[in-house]
Amino acid sequence: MNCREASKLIHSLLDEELSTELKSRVEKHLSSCENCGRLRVELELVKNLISRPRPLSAASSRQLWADLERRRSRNLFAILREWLDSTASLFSEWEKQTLWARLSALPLTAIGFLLLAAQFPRVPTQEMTYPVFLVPAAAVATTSSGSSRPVMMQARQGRRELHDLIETVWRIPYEDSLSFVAEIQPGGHATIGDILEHPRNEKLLDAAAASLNDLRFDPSADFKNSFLIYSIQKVDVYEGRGL
Amino acid sequence: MGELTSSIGTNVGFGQTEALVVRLKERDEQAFAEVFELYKDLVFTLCNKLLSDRGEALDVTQEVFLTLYRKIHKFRGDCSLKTWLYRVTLNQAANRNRWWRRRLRHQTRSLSLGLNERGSLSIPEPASADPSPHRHCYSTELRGAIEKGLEELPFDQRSAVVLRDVEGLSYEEIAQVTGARVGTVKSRIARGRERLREILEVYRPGANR
Repeated sequence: MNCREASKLIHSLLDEELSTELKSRVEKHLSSCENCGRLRVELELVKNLISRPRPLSAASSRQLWADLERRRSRNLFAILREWLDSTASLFSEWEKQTLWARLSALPLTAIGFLLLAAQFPRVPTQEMTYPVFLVPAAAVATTSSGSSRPVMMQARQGRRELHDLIETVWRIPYEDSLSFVAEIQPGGHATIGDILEHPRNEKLLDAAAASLNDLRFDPSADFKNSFLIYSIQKVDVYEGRGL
Repeated sequence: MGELTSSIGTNVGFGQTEALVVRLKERDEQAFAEVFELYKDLVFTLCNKLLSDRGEALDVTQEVFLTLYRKIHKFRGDCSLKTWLYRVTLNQAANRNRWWRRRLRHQTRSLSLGLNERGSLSIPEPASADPSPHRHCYSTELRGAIEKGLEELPFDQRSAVVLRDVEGLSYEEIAQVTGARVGTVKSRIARGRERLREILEVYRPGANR
C-alpha cells in the first residue's frame, strides 16, 4: 500500500468503516510512514474537536416544549401575530443592515441639494426693474412724443444677444442705479442712446454696451416695424428713481 | 453525543418506534411528548452544528418537531423514524442556511456563541481540573477555529461531517438521510475534514504564526 491509497482510506479507517483485512493493511502503512501517521493524528484531532456535543439544557428544553405547545394549538389570530412578528423582525433586521447605507446617503443628498442650489445665482428680486419692452411703432410714436415714460408692453426675449444684454444689465447692483435707452436704428445697428444715471460699475456698463453693440438685427426678418426703441431701465429702488 | 446516540439505539427498539409512529399518526399527545424527549438533543445538536447559532438552532429544532407533528402522515416507514427526523432537520437547516446566508449571515458573528448554557461567558474556574490554563486556551482556540471552519464548509460537506462525527451515524445511514450515494458521502466527509485540517495547519507546533 502506498501513501495515495492510504490517504484515501484513512477517513474510513477513522470512522471504523473498513474491513479487518483492509484495516490492518492501512494500519501497517500508517505505522511505517511518518507523513501518513501525522495525517492520521491531525485528522483525529479534527474529529475530536468537532464532536464536542452541546446538549440542550433543561430550561431551553422546557421553553422549546412550551413554544411547541403554543404553536401546535394555534388559531388564525396566532398565525397573524406570528406573521406580523416575523415581518417586524425582518424589517428591523433590514434597518440594522442598511443603517450605514442610509446614513451615508444623507450627506450625499445634502451635497446634491447644494449643487442644485448653486445653479441659481443669488440675484435680488427685481420687481421694480423692467427688462426689455418691445414697443410697437404706433405705441412709441404716441408715448415718446407725449411723455418721457416708457410704456410697458409685453416683453419678448426672442434673441440670444438680447437675452445676454438683459443678463448683463441685471447684474448691475441697485446702488448703481442705471437707466438707459437702447436704440435700434432702421438699419439694424444698436446703440446706447441715453444713459440717465451714470453707474459706478463701469465694467458692467462696458459689458452692457458691448452686448448692445453685438446686436445686429435683420429688420425685415425680425421686426415688422422699421423703427424700434428698446428701453432698459435699472431702477434705484431705495430712492424710487427711475420711473 | 456518542453515548446519547447509542443509548437511543439500545433503549428504543425498532418495534417501539413503530408503535410510536402509529400513535403519532393517531395524534396521540403523549406520543409526541415522548418523541420530543427522545430526539430533542439529537435534533438540537445537529442544528447547532449545522447553523452555528444557538438561537437559530432552537428555532429550527422547533420547526422540525412542528413538521413532525403536522407531516407525520407522510412518513411511510421506509426508513427509521430517526432517519426521517434527520432528513427533516437537514432540509430545514438547509433552508434556513440558504435564507440566512443570502442575508449576509456569514459576515456577522453571534454574540451568544461564547456563552455557555447558563448564559455566562465560558471562562475556566480558577480551581479547575483542567490540565493548565494555556492548554485550556489552546484547545478553546482550536475549537473556535474548527467551528469557524465548519461554518465555511459547503452545506453538503458540513452536514456529512457533522452527521458522522457529532451524531455518530454510519456512512450507510448518512447516505439514507442525505439521499446521496455512499461513495458521495465518503468523499464529502473526506473533503470536509481535509479542509478543516488545513485550517489547523497554522496551529501545528513549529508552524509560523
